[in-house]
Amino acid sequence: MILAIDTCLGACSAALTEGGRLLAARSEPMDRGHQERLAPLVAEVVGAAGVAFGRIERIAVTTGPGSFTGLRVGLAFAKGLGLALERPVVGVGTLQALAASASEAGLVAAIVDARREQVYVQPFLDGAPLAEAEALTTCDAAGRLAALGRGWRLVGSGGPLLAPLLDRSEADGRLAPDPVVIARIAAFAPLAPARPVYLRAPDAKLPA
Amino acid sequence: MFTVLGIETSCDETAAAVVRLDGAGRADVLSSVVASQDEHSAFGGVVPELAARAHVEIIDGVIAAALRESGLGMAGLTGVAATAGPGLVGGVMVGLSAGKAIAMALSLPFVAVNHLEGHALSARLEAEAPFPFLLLLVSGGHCQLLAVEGLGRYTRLGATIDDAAGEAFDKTAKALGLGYPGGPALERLAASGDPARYPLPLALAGRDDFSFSGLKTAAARLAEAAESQQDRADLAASVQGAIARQLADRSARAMARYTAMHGGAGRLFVVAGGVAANATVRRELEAVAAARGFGFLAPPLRYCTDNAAMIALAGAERLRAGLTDPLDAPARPRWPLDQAAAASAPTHKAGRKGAKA
Repeated sequence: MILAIDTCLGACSAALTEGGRLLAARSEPMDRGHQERLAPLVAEVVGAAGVAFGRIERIAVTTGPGSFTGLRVGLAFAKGLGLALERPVVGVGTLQALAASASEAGLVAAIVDARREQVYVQPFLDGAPLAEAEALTTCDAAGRLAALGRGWRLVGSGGPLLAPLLDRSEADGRLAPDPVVIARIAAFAPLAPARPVYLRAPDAKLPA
Repeated sequence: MFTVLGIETSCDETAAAVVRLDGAGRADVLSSVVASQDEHSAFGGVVPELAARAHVEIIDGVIAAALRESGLGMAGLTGVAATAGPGLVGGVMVGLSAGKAIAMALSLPFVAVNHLEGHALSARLEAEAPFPFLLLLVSGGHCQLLAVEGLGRYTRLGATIDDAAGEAFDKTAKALGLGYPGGPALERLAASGDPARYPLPLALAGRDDFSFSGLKTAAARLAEAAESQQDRADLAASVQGAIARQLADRSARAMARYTAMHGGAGRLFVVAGGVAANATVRRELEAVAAARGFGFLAPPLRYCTDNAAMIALAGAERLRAGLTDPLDAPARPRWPLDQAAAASAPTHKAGRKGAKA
């Protein structure tokens, strides 16, 4: 049984699955307030599934890129659950989950509006990453994708920003990954400590 | 009996502790783990995003260590408490989220603790400090005098209108090139200095509140002109003396008001927070207390600086009083202990977010 949670992007989400079967899931769009909502939301999902917390075998959590605060809330929460339940925490890349939420066939690019004229971007072919996630300007991101192939399916809040640069008439502008997909990815992921993925250095300047 | 896991992540210490509170209200610290971040020293102060990043990397390891050292597993806990503010919210959310998850997974009651209440109760970790008492909370982030009437019942008798006393220590140390955190280094330098060398004024004389920003600026200016090692030592001693003098002066005024409120009852002066570790400050405060018939109590240093034992204790005392918090408890960057005084007579110009502390 896998509990998946995501607080990295524009939603607060949780899902409980067992053997690939969905037991319960909730996803609520929000820009802020993930910290307040997450615990009650998880309680609702576990309650709706009618199972005890002790039956959870693995905790899946998106580790970024995304909102710095959001990814830490999810990761800290997952680590707390993992400790209390003595179960492993598996990190899933936000962009992989986002891309797979749309499609795991063909060329799919997950693109998140990172503000400051940048996007977080990662390309996939049939669900497998073609490169690491990166923070790039929209122009550089478009150039990178154009060099890798044609006919991209663009997914995420940054999709509409890139569509005109790649001669795509449409983009899948979904704001967050599907937590059921996060659970599915985590089911087959190797066990390794979940680490946050920021893609940006902290705003801190050394004194002159 | 309450056995509570406490979690503290509101500044640059990642901390977890297990504290047991018995039926008679006596506390027993079963474990207290504090991991101090050293990422900030190059920046001369705590960088919020760096602090938050460091907290989330080690939060699980620190909690696991506290549970291990307590000799109890998760199963030995009867409650979970985490700091919910005031402080740097990015970090607060890390400990708060982890704490909520543990409470939820184990069906334990949860307490969202005010960090300042933790400091206020910290003296009760290792000593008898019955309510009411007069509290001076003096650290790098806070400086206030409170009448502690009981759990959750605080009357503000004075607070800084600008910087905390610890910040004046740190910034002066920085101006003298002593690195961060500078309080202990400044105290060492001051040991060979003449505290009368640089006359520094007593800010807000005749008032109940504190002010340290003028002192901080004056010290920085004098530091530029200090040439010899003796100049620097004299300046360190003078600044330390000025801080101690102001703390003692406002404490004396607060003792008079406190006595008017309580008569002869509760004549105990508790000094909590990292600045209480400074020997000169402590000596002046002890003298003020003795002169006015107050007992003096400062928790050991490990419970004066940020720690999770005080958070666990605050959580345990709240649970004993039947108080818990819901799992949607917010992180609060600003959270005054005396909310009424903070709202009606803010020491800081009321910002959009309200009074800080």
